[in-house]
Amino acid sequence: MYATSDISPFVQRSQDTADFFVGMRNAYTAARRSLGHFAGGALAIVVAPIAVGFMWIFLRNQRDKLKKLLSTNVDLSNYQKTRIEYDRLNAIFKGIGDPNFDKVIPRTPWLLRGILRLMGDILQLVRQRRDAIGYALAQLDATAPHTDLLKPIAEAELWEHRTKAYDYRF
Amino acid sequence: MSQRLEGEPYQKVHRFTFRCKKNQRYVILLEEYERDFFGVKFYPNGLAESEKRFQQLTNSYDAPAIINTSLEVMGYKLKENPKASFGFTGAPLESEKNEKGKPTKRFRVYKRIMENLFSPERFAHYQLEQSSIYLLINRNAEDPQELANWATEMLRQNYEF
Repeated sequence: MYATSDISPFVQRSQDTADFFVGMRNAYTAARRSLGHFAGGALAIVVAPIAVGFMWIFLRNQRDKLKKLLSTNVDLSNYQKTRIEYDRLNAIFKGIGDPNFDKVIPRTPWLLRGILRLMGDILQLVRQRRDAIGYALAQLDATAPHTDLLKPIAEAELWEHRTKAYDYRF
Repeated sequence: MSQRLEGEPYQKVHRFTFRCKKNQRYVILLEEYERDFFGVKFYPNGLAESEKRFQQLTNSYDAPAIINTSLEVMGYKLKENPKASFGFTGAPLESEKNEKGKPTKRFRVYKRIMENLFSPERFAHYQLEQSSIYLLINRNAEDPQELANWATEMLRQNYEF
């Protein structure tokens, strides 16, 4: 676990959105599984439009705020903080599963399509930031001097082996 | 204390001494090579004349204090010279003498410490496990690639790979 102060507002908001999305998806799946055909239909008519409306407003708000917070400029001078951010962004995709919404949307009930589109936009923003950090980290490996004898240890390997709670001293 | 030396591969040696618990004295050597490269070594002062001064265990459980002080010395040098790069070997224990080509216990411990304390953003890390050598090349060095070439040449002259 990392300290909360290590998390940037962009990551915090992305993670909140992902958690919200996963929670709602699980609730939807559970409701469909446990309710009978009639009760499921009644739920879809009475509750779903309100819930979907609420979700749509929430997700649109999150998307707009994330758009403002997004930066593809990566400053590695605080390497530890940036690396933690990269791990957190990757964890979001692990949780959601990096779905291809373009393929999923045509097979989804029309009421939910707007939600998925917004979620697709949000994941695209998260992906942009993650890829920008990934590129900057890859540059660390690419620019490390090397010879036939001296092969630099990859940045990812060094990060993986260390105790994450420690701060770098040098 | 710093001393200029003739006939050695390094240009200068900086000598630091300190005492641990039980009043045991230790020496840390920072060998200054060209291109702002420093070799780090330490040994108990009582074994200064012994050929085994880098290998022998004192069994006084002073390792954390010695390693921490060595890190302080490295930090002091980095403050003085932000382009400094470092290297060290993990000397084999008596019981490891016949296990050539395997990373030594000391090397495995030091490596772990380097991974935890030296940021990859500031230093490129290198390990030669078979010889238990670890190098930290400063990315802000005058010419890091030149330094790596020089280090390779120096290692080839002094070790078998």
